[in-house]
Amino acid sequence: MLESVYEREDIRGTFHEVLDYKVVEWRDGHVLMELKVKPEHRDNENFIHDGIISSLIDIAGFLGGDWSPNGPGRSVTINLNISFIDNSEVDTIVALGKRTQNTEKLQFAKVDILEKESQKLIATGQCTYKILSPDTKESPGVFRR
Amino acid sequence: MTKINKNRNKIIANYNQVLGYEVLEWIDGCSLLAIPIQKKHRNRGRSIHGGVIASLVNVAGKMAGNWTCSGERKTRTINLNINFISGTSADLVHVRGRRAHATKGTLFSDVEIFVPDTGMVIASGQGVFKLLRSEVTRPHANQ
Repeated sequence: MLESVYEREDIRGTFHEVLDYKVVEWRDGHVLMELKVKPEHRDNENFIHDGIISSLIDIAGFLGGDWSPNGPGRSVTINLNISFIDNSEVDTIVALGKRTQNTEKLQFAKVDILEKESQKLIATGQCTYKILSPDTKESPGVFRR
Repeated sequence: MTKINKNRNKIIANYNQVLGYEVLEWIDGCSLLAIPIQKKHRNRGRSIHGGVIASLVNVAGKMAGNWTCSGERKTRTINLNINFISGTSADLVHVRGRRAHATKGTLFSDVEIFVPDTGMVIASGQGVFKLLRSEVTRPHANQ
């Protein structure tokens, strides 16, 4: 049910497909995502690349605070602050996103990245997003001159 | 011979290949990367995904301080802080990393992502990295 809400046609070929994550739980103010680590997610030393962890925090922080029955809305990231606690070589990691606060235009969230088996903390992040109002021409790729 | 090929394939299959960046400049204290933006780097709009920008801040930040005359010094990321200034649908972006300060074991970098044609800044970031002991990494040394 949740997956069918999230898997949308317009993510085909985009960065979401490179990540290939799975949304396991998604409700208001909470999201649990799972990522099966592939060879293309690793760095030269076979650790999970820090960029993958950053990307997962970016997505989980947004989904964590922006539940709606019609799937995710639109937002732009304003700030990401990520602390990398430990390196990891495991095959499955989970991202736990929680909303800190929502205002009319802004959303604050907190994300933890854990190893799935041992529940060891790998990284934490704090994120700030600007929520774009739906049904307007406002879009991340379009900016006023 | 096969071992070398295997090694090279391993490098191609990892995340650095997904990012597909080109190193234009890599000297002590400074790095400049160019990234042709493909569809797989974009999000549901046409702009570059925040995760790609975060990855580039990480890569350029550590390259600003890991140059040694005999190769790359190993690093670990401790903290990244990224400010997303504007979205863009440009096809080519440049990333410049500068060393702000380095102690014996810690590196502080400033990174800026900009569109080379217009000079418009898309994102800026700061990274803190741990510099591991300066052993030389030579990929084919044990063969």
